[in-house]
Amino acid sequence: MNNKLFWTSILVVLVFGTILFGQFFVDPAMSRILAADPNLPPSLDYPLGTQSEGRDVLVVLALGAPMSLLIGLIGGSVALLIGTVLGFVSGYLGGIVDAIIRTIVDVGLTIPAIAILILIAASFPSITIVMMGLVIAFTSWMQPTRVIRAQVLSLREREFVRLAKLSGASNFQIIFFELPPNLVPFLASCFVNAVSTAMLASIGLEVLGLGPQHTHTLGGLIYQGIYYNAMWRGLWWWWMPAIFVLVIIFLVLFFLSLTLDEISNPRFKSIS
Amino acid sequence: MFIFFLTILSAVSLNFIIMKITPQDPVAVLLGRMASRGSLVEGGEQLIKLYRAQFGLDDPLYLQYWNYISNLLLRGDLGYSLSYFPAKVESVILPAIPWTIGLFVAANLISFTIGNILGAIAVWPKVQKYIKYLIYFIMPLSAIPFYLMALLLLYLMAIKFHILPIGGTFRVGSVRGFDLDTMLQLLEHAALPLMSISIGLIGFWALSMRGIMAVLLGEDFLTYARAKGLRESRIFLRYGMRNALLPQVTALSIDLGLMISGQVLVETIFNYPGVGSVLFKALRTADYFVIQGVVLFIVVAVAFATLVIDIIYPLLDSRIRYKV
Amino acid sequence: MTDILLNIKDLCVSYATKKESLEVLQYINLEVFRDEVFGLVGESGSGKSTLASAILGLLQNPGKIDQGQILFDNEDITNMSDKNHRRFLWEQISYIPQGAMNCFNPVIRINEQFHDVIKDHGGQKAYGLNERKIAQLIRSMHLNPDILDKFPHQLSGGMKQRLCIALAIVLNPKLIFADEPTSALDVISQRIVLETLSKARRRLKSSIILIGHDLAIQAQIADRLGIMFSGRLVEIGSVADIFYNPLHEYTKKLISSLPSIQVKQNLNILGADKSQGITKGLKGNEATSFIEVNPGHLVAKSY
Repeated sequence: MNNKLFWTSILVVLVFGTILFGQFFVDPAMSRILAADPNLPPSLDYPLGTQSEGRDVLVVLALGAPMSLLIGLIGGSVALLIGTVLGFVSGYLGGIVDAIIRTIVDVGLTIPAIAILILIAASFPSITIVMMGLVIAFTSWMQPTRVIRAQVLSLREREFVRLAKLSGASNFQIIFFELPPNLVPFLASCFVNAVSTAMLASIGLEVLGLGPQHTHTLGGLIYQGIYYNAMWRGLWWWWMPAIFVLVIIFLVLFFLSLTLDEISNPRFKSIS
Repeated sequence: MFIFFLTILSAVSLNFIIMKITPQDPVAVLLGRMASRGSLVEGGEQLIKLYRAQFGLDDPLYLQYWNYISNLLLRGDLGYSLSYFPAKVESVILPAIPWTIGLFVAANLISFTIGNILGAIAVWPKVQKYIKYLIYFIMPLSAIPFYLMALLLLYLMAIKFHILPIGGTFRVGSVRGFDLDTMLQLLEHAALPLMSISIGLIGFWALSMRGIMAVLLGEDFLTYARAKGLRESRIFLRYGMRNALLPQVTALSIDLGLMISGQVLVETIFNYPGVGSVLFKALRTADYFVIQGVVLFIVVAVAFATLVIDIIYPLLDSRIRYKV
Repeated sequence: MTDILLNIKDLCVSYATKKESLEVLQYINLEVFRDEVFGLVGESGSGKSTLASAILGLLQNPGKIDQGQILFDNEDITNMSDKNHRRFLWEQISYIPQGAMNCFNPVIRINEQFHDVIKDHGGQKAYGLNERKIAQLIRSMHLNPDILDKFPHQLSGGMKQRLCIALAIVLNPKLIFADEPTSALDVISQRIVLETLSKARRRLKSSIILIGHDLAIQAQIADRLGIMFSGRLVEIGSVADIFYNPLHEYTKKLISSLPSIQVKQNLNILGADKSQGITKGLKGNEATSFIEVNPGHLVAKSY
């Protein structure tokens, strides 16, 4: 089991490291309009060719990829933060607090995130990376809350909590000092899922053309590809690399979340 | 039931709030855009008057809210489409609805059935190893979002290899009727959108079912079932799947929103005439009321489906139906 | 036609873990006759349930039969094909589980679970069964036939246990394994269960292997007893033999540990070192070759 985690982590570090640091190895000037001749196929000068506006695709990719990661991180972290706080409070305190939070979560879950996201993104003409992250978090905190609440509920009845109570710890202390250490692997798994969801949502929006206008993003690359009919014109180097990178990112996140699932839920270990 | 109405109310209110927060007037934007292209805006004056009247922008906020809600919920009035004026929003959205529902039901039915069976087989004892490896190969496909899958399939099947059509619904210039040819065309065109959604979804259900079944296999009644010398197929279906599907049905009701989101993008990519495409076009032309209308439809549809599942569930799980 | 229904010869079962192979059953030699109740007694971990699983052919990974033979009605059933084995189960040998709490499929009604078993073994006609006979069977368990329409979670533990008994005898098997059928029940339910079990058995003339660690219960309905300790059989004999004339050291300690209303005595605990002594230094087959001290009363050589 430790072996799997080790190799998965190496993979994660490699992939995300490349993405994060790739941007420092390219010349951002090449990503501006008409930095080069438009629609050039891949060559030594321009390893991924150029697109209709004359931007070097490789450079755009290198600059855009970390953005997607960033949105994912922001969106995922905020969603997880909200989810953790609400999940803990709701699960541990129970009663009317729990009932209220649970109702909000249920209603929120039924309203498809995309609906709200599209609505918000369409209403505001220009949207920044951070704003996007926050908006996504706003529509995706429900799932972590549910899941964390369930875990807290099951932990609440365990012995060590009773013991802490008996020795006089206040609710606050229990919520923030006793419970978290037991939930760390589970929270890690939730975090990966949250980031994954956030990235998915942000790229989806970008592909629709609702992403940040003034920064390069992976989804944006694809959107432009569709907009300029790159597929039909055979300009595969425009959008293929972006999709390729995205697929890799998602696969890596997927395996990471599988591995974390195995750790936090020992029952899976015996099966695989 | 209560949740159902609460959801709709919240969604509508959210709609309203977002509209109010918007820094600009969508009608004005559209008119401005059209004017800059040098086209005459027919009925531009009427539009602005309608808009102001409908929302009574001069009225206090709570009155606006009340008007909005009552208009919407009591009269089902979704407003006018800005791009197709004087067409009403309903006329733009309604024709697209059957297409979307058809795709949604088909994709989900196929994926739920196949995915769950595959996931169950993946951990069932006495199953050949090679079958299990095949299934484990399919599962990671669920990590790829629907729209990416759609793009990949579009490129591979339609553009590169010309196996299936690029999009739309019927072949250009075909005569439609209730005949086999029309049906085939329909299937042909719906195939790629269907596959884009189903492949990933199958992986998703398989993955979650694997987890559920793995835990279920440790239950006493399964061991006992085997001791009773029951047929393997019976144990798998009546004792295994029957129990494992219960949490999956719950998961289905929760994930409906997720699936419809994916479908919207897929429809757009394939120009499939569902609400997704309508939405995309509306986005491009900033047809704000249509956008709202589609979003509302999606919310209502999902809420309704969730309600239906909530009602059906006790029929499946006797422990809830006959509460001791 | 011999009287021997089940004949186990030199059965060895082990569990293979990553580090080593754990020998759970060593050289078990056992005979069970027709129309008798054989009590298998031993403390937790002595291997009683494993023996039952092995005989039923339901050993789960990583357990496996290393060597030995199991003969049922003179047929070798140690390595049956899957297809035959499936039919064999429940038609010839059935099983009453320990805790019936979780033994029924929670989402299917009781009568359907009965019919599942009947259908998969040839159908009602093959056993001369019909709705009336099944209802009769239920009544013989002191249960109301209405129970058939219910779901498992609507029933109490005692009811479920009795239903398990009914299920176990519906196909008239020749041998029934009863794995501590009363340990999870209160005293009154225990009594009812034991009585219904005995009566049913006598009617069908099948044999029962009653697994348990409660000697008092064994004494009530068993004819012969087999004492197990640490994966080996240490003594076999009639109930009278075992109780009044225990020969093996372990058996003696077992019998003496039974509290008596009449005499107050100190508890004799078998120390760890002593336990080793019983099976130490004995190799392979030698360890469990039996000496027949009196007709039908066998003791392991370590005595």
